[in-house]
Amino acid sequence: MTIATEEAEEQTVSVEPDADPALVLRARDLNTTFTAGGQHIHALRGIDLDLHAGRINVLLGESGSGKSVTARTILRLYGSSALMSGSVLYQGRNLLELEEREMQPIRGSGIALVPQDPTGSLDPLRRVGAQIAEVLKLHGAAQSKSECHERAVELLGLVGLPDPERATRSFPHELSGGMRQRVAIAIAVSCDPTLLIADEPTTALDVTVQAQILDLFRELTETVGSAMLMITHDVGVAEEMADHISVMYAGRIVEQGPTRAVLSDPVHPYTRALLNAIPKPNMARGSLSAILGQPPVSGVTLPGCSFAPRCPLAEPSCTAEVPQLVAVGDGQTAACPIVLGVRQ
Amino acid sequence: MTTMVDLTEPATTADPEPLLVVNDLVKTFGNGVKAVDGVSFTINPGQTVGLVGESGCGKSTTAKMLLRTLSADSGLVKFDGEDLLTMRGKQLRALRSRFQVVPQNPQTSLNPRLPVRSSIEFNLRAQKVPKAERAKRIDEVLDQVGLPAAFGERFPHELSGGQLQRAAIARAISTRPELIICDEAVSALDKSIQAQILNLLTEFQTELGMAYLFISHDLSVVEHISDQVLVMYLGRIVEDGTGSQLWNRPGHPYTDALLSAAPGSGRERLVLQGDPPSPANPPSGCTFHTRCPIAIDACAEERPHLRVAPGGSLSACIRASAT
Repeated sequence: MTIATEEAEEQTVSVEPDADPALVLRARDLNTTFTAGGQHIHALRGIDLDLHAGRINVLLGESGSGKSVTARTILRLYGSSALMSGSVLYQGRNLLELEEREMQPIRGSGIALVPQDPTGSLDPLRRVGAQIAEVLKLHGAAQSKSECHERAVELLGLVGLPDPERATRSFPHELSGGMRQRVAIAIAVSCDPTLLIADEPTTALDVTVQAQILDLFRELTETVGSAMLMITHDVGVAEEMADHISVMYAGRIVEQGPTRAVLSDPVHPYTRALLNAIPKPNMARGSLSAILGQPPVSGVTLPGCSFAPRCPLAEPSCTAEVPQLVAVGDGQTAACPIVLGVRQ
Repeated sequence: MTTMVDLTEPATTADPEPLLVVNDLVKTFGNGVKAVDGVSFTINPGQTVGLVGESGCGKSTTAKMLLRTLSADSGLVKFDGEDLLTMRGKQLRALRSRFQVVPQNPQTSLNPRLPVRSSIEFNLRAQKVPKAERAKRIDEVLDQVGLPAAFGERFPHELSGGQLQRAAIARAISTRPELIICDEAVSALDKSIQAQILNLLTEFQTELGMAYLFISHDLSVVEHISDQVLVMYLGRIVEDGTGSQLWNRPGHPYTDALLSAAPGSGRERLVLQGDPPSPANPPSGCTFHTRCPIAIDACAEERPHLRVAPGGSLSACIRASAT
């Protein structure tokens, strides 16, 4: 179910004239609410995102922060189970207002998804080649059997499978986890998407294989030139891949900006704490700065700043009002009036 | 930490009384998978030994054999001088109070149908701790892991992942063990919670002086918490050194690859080709030679043994001086 607010429509109009040619997708004030047992769970609250061609935007956050919900909201994968508002402007249209049949051709061809677990996303009973051909046919990227096969071999070669010809005849279980993820990526890029969404694409893989897949992603964004939204909980992955980082906490973006700025000069106390919680070489044992307590339980909406109960800098005013993202540097914004007050 | 005297016998250290001695442990499964292929190491009292490697390298199989939930094909395990692998019945049960485990998944490691308190009590009862003392001990350990006493009455599904892992640690320390085997104990947790648990484990070591065998796939975590780090590949230990030795000058190309593969490490990436080979049919000689960037013909012929590498660690690589 889609709720298009008046505000969203206004933004749609105001955004278009000064549209940046590289801008692929612009989301404004995304809100996603689930209803379970009469209780409303506000999974996303006022998310703004700009995704540009050839650039990688990383959503960084811990479990339950709303990273995957953002991806699924953009792709409209929730059907009627979620209440969505805001706007997702893509190729001049607000995706949240489209009919399901209008969404279908966009998914997979315009906006493609690389899922977390390649084992679950591939059909275990069909050969890899047939699964790629299905996508190609569905989106009219290839028609005849030989054309599909040719393209499948080409794609599998592109993602670095050693013997692509043979791989088309393999079943998913005959491939290793890393190979399966390569197949999932081949399917995702098969129709030259303008936006690639990767939801924790390497979390299920070993580090040495993860390194290979991350290299592949970087190559692909350069060769295919698509925009990329990558979701991860791993600061290292974000550091390595992102041009731009958005840090999420409890359904909101609390800080965002160019990768270097966010990681070297974090402003929001959550970003700072998250970066300090990661062990680094030559660090004294037991000196990790743990964040006290735990994230709010989903379904519980705290007044004001959601991080306040765990924040070392929290003041009574923090729970009064939801802090807004304010510019703190070149392209960097953070939602913490306390830190900003100290800085000024 | 350990000074190697006899280079051909890496299992024995100069320390006179290690808490745990593992020598040439082997496990081959029925399907021909050589999960653990001659693993040797020692753990001294109060020491943390990290065991790191990718999935399928035999880390957990090693842990299971030490816990006696899986029988070893051959090898020797001595806990405080007593042969652990041949021990049975009462004797084994008595010894179990001295080594405990914190498993990976906190959701499944505690009985879902028992309040946390009862799960801990179960462990104490198995160790024949008198009833009067049990309640006192449970309150004490819950307090030590930072859980309010009221949480003891809760069921596992009423706790978050971090709280559950604290409860699992409370259960492990309730018998006042000398060694805790942490099998991917923080892997399922969010980073901010992971830091809490790592700090907690370090704190206990300082206070209670227990030793840890800390198993993880995450080298940065292992390096952070361990005195000594063992790197495993396809059932074998390929490098054994302190965290800083490994970080500053890894003696094995696989360690180097692991370190540089960690995203954001800032190291020059050493990309390995392909996937780890199947442990059912491991490559000849050095099992890493098929993916090794500096392999030479001789690597495929003979199994390399641990030797002192230029960085000070022990490395099973005949090309160690070239890394």
